[in-house]
Amino acid sequence: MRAMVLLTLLLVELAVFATVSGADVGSLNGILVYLELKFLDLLPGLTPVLVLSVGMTMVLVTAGIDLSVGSMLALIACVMSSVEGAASFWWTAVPLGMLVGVGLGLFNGALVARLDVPPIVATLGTMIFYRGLCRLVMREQERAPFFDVPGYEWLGGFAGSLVVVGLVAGVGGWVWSRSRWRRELLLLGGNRVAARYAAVPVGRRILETYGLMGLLAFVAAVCFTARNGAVNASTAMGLELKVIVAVVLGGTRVEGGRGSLLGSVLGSLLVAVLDDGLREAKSWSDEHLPFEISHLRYLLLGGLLVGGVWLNARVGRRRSR
Amino acid sequence: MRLDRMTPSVRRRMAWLVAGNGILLLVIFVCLLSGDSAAGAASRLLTVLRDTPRNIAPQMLAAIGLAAIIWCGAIDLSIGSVLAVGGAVFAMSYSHDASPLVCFCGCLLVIGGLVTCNGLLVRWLQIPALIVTLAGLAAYRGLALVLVNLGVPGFDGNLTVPEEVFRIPGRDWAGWFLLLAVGGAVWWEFHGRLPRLWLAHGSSPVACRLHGLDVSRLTLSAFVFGGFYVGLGGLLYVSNQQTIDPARMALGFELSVIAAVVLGGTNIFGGEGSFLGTLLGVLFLYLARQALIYAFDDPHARQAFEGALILAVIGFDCALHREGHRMEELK
Repeated sequence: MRAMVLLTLLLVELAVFATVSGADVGSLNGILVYLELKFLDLLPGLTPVLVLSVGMTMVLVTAGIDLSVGSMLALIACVMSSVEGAASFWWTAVPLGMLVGVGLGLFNGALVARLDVPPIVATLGTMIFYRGLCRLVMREQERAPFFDVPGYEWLGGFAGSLVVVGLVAGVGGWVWSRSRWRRELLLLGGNRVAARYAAVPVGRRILETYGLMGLLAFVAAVCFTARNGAVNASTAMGLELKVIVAVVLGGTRVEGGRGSLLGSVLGSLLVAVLDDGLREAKSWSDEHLPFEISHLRYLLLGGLLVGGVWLNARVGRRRSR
Repeated sequence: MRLDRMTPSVRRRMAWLVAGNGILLLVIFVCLLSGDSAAGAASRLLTVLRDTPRNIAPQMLAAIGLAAIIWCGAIDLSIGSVLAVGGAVFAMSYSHDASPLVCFCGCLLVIGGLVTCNGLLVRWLQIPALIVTLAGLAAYRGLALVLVNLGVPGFDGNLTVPEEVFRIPGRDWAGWFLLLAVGGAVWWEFHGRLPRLWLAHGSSPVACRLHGLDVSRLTLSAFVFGGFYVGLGGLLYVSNQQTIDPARMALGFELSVIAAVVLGGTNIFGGEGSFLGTLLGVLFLYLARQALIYAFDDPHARQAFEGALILAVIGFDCALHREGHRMEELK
């Protein structure tokens, strides 16, 4: 039901922006060509958000939240950029980035699971801390060694992004939906005390979830740098908001205990189509609107989030009645 | 003072912060001493202390407003963007030759109104405040940009306000505003009924409902109070800026305010906290920033140290009470 609502919203968005941007969508062939071009263009830029939204779904399911994903992505990319762009990048910077990603994720997990710091507070602190580390590593510089690495740029193209998304959201999602791990996360997110009585190793599961979030932040950092080619200390600022909006829009409860990877993928698509559509509609807005249409992006993003959650809550309440 | 009304963990956190603020003052003094005589260092320390009220007033007032909202179990993540809307309204009024008083009132009313509007949305839509204000974080920033584009003729990204008269509240009156507003809030915390009801609501909404209290109205009243204080803080913040740039104005303001509130002993899930602790939390962050400025020549290291300091204080405190929380959870 929720997936159908999201799909309908996505189609409405696509139809509106196709009309506004003046695309030829009068025939079935025109629609297919428009969709093909749209997704060829959209997917590589969307991949970091999509990958992070998979991890964020798991974190939110445990009644946690990770506000530090944008800073984590930036720090991993900054650390990787300090290695020279050559073939050796694959066996020096990439494992180093993975190690840093998992380490940062586990640090978040340790704060939440071992020290009992509320997740929103812990990751708010690490968001500031990791961004500070980015500034310490990069200072005022911008580094761009990524396009000099043989084969690295492929990951930022359509085929590379498709493989990454297929592996993370497709294969990962399939394994997740059948795993005992998922059921344990849902239980501990829904009722932590019950999970403890049911012999679920709560602390370990939380640590694993945040560690996985760190690993996915590394994957997202690779996709991001493979597409953009350069990185600085302000990279991916505000990305966490986009990811959280996408996941919550997809039907995952912020209080934990319920979440859907498919919903999160559709939510990410909705956000990305909105972003891209507003960018494309610039020439139309210059003629018809007294302000820049890109400013509407924030208003629509907010409206979409409140509207989506309100609709979810209404459907849930009606069902429980 | 009725400190016994506070929970032991809040009292303990306040004791930590008093000691921490003392240590930070000592660190600043030692840093100043390294390049000056004892008398010179003491005089420079006094200058730092004299400037403190003006520099912390916006954060302090916003933190008191936000603390009240958090006590109820809600949160407002949109205050930075709300301040940007206030800045946009200030810029619009200024560019249409409005008097300073009109600019100040417009800014105050818009900021207070938008925070109250968040409370109304939480009440009417019955969805978590975290979601409503997360949406507000994006939406209000967009609103500020649209408003300033529509309302300021020839706007090219920012607007400079050269007249000194428009900066009187933020620069000259900030200390007095702070004294009155904080004094009033602390007095009300110890003698008023509503702050205790907010704490009760955050602690157990079910118990409050069974007691016959309208919990959604209580949350709304916290947002109205929060709106007033965030509005005052916003007015001081906006009127202290020489250039108004709604795209960047108060970016990350909410994070520093939330960090200060949590550092001050307020439970992020509600039901626990104090205005006095919040005051100490804001002061601690400010003094830590000052100490880092004097201790490190490298400005790039400061943000990392600030984040590490917040994590260390909160992590240490949480670790100390871990066993107690676990036992409470299992009861």
